[in-house]
Amino acid sequence: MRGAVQDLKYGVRQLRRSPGLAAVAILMLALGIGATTAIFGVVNGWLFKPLPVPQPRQITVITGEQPGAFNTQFSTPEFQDYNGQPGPFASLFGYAPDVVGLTHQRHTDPILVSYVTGNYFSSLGLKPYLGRLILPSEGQTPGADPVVVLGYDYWKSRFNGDRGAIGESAQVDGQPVTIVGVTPPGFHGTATFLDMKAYLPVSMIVRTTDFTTAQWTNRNSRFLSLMGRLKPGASVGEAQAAMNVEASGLARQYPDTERGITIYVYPEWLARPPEPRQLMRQGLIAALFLLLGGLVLLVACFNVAGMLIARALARRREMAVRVSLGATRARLLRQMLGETLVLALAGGGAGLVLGQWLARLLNLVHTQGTLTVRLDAQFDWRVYLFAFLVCLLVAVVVGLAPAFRAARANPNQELREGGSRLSAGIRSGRLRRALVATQLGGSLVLLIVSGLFVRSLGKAETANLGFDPRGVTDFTTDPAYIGYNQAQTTEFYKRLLDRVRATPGVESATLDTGAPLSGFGSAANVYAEGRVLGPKDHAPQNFYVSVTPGFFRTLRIPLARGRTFTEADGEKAPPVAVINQAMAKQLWPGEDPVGKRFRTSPSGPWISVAGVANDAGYVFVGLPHFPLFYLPVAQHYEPLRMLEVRSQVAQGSLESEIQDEIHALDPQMPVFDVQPLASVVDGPNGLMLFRIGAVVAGGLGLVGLLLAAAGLYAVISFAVSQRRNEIAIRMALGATQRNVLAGVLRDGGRMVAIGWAIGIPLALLAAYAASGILTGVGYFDLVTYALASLALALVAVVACYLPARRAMRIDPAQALRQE
Amino acid sequence: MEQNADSLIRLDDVKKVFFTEEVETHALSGIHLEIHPGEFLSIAGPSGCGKSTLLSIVGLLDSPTEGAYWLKTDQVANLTVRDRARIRNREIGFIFQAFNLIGDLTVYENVELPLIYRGMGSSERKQRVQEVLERVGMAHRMKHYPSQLSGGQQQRVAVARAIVGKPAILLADEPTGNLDSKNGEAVMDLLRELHRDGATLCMVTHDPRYARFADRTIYLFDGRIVEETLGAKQLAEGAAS
Repeated sequence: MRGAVQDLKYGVRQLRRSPGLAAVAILMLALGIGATTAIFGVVNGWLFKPLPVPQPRQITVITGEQPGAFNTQFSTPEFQDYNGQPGPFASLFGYAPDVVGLTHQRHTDPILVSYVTGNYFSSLGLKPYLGRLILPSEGQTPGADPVVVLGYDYWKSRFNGDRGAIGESAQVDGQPVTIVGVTPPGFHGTATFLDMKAYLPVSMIVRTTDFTTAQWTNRNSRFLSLMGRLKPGASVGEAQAAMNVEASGLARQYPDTERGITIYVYPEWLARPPEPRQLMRQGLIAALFLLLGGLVLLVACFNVAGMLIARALARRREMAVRVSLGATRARLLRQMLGETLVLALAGGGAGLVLGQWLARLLNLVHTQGTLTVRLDAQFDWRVYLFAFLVCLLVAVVVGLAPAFRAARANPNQELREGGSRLSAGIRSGRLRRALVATQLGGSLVLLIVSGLFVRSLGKAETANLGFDPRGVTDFTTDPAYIGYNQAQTTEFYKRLLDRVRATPGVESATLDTGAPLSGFGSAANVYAEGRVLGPKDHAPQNFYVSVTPGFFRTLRIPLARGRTFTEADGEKAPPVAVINQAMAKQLWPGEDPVGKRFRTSPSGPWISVAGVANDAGYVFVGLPHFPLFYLPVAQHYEPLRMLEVRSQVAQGSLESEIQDEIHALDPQMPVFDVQPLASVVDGPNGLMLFRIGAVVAGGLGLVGLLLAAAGLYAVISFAVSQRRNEIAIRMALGATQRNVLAGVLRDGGRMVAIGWAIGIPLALLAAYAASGILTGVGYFDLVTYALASLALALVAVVACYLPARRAMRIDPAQALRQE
Repeated sequence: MEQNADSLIRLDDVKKVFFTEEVETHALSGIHLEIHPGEFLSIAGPSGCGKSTLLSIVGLLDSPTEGAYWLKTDQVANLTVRDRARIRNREIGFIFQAFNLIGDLTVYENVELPLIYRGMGSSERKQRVQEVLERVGMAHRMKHYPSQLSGGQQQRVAVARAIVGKPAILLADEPTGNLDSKNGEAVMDLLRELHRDGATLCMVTHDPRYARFADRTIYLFDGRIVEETLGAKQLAEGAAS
């Protein structure tokens, strides 16, 4: 132990005595460790950080799955049935995210809230920061318990942290509520990536939305995301078995609604989000980006290792002296590793600062609008532990080769004056070249994968979305937030649309319940007329939005067949829909779907297909052919609407003009998410993930390339200085400067070629792994591979040319005289 | 053959051959040598005769190709690297022509190093280091770095480092080779003083001025001991007896 401390102290002194080398090495390691740690910070926040509640490992997520359906929620009766059974669960609890209007002191905010079961907070084991949380006795009776609990951050920002807010009145969607408490800091709800601003008892959903008391008792009205707290000592396996038994019982008791439902119980940390098929995908994305960060770190490590090998050459005599004084090889290895550990820890410290800065940048990634996405990249002990382990790994990777080289010092040779150093120099040179070739290979992998992400973004940006966002501005409003009923809401929207369409400069305007890629919209099972489902078949679940006439013209979604909606498609007219081509292919492949009928429940009214619209990337930009249908808003009421206005008028003045029109109809009307449709296209369902991927991967690729270039430059420079005499002799024998240049470039070219041979197969593997999250480019995209190889070659030429120029300027007479 | 109980070191028919790709170089051929406790042995000979190779083998920095080597009562010719390091640390002190102090360590730390490798506690180390530095007259420079010292001072520090572990034998390879005559004399005086106090010394030199201080001098030529002479003191003792 005492010796280890001495080794570390000596390591610190070594750094202080070689400040230049130390600074460069620490900077390189900081880049590698910083990039890796920042990425791990995001992965940690996403996958590893437990919920900020007591005994978080007892918390589980329960999902239900029906074939063909991605609805993983449960109805109130189902929740009550499952929760009423004794077993491995201490309790089950549920929540349902929604956007509501919260009015306080005549100001309305659209906010994301969770309707929660009464036992939500008590099951999670949370204590209020202020006031009280929702009580287990609440949320039982539809429409009862008009209280709201504010999220800590929202209370801080919207209420300025005013303790007096507790007990005050507010309105949620026009319904009076009392603010009863504030959640503890750090708790943001239980929905992955979403930041809940407030919590309401689930019973309030009947008062604040169009959810009816009848739906409250309907087993098919599934809206609650279910979670459970296991009893101490109970396992997930036991919970799964108990749920299976209960689900079978319910399937026998309620075959119409419960048949075919498969229940999955996951530890909460494995269900972010709670989509069974997402588990592999999220692990793959996390692993891929950690791999890219790790490659940058590896390139940085090899660079520093190369520098330390060169320094080890200069310290061979010191090592020989130590050997002569009785130092064992193990002792020398320990000393050298101690020195690199100091270097790695210094690099790690700087890397943590850099990583935290990068993580803060990633924390700033959020969406404009109401559905705020939260990337929790804040560092905790896991990230610090990760960074520390990375430092230990770095110390070994960086230090092992130089340490072995130093520990193999031959004292008999080194301690003699003028002992030949030729053979050791050649061996070290080979090792450094191997390291640089590997760096170049790693850098090529980074370049190719980052190139694929950048190309994928480019393809996504230029892809035909199926609609034209240019010149369209979105305004979202919901009269229900301030208590309008259906008739008032319908009248309000009719008058609004008339006024907006009459506004000078407005080409066209439409209202819909979800703009493309906005995240708003609904899903429903669809049953085609004449198609009988087998006992094991389930109706497909498609996406839908309600729209006003003029929608297709405003968004410029071309019609393939039939007609669009008109004012005649009113509330009392026969139900009609416009479907997209993907849905036409899904339900009636090879047939003309116009005039055919479908419905959204086994006993619901038939809806006639009036027309077929071209496919549009409506749900997610990477899913351009997702089946969806459009309904006339008059036949399918929802209070939240997006007003979409196509105009050539300047953005700023249009926004204020339209908001003036809305407030002319009602000064209290909340207007939110005012933004160009192009910004929505940049959002989380649009290009945001591609952009993040491209920026992160591109940044890593660039850093990797620069590090590899620095490594190549250092090795070629060192080789030129070692070969000064040889080059002088060659020149004395008649070699031209061009011959010298060619010789140096050939040396670098060999390393680039080996790097290419290492990098291409690895890049193919990494790209294949990444292909699932790319769009528009295959994993073997020749253009990307060619451009990345070219970029590497160009940078290598520059890195080699500088030392080559020095070699060309060697004066043979002077060099040979010095020798 | 067994070790003579009177000998500190005994080499029997030691050979050293360096093999390169095409050439075999016989650096030492059939060396028989005994060094007794308290003896001052000088090794002389022209450049390339094998002096330093012999010293490296005696110092366990190298191993013989053939032959036997006893240190005290142990056969040490074919020990593991680890055991050789341990014996070097405890039994042998080196003094080099080029001083070979570690530039990044202070005088104190350079002298302390063998004791650290021995695993000695810090208070005992401190006491020993101070003692030897006072003995070589360098205690006042213990916080200096080697680059801040003259050549003669550096070699005195090197001597201190060699004797701090109280080794059985001191091996000195041209200890005055990098020093001017005044500093050379001073270092030799120091070595003679150590010898007078009982130290066993084995010194490679080709300077006859310093070889005469030895009890015995062996002459090497082409890897063989070709002559052995006694020093003045031994001759006088021999004549008296």
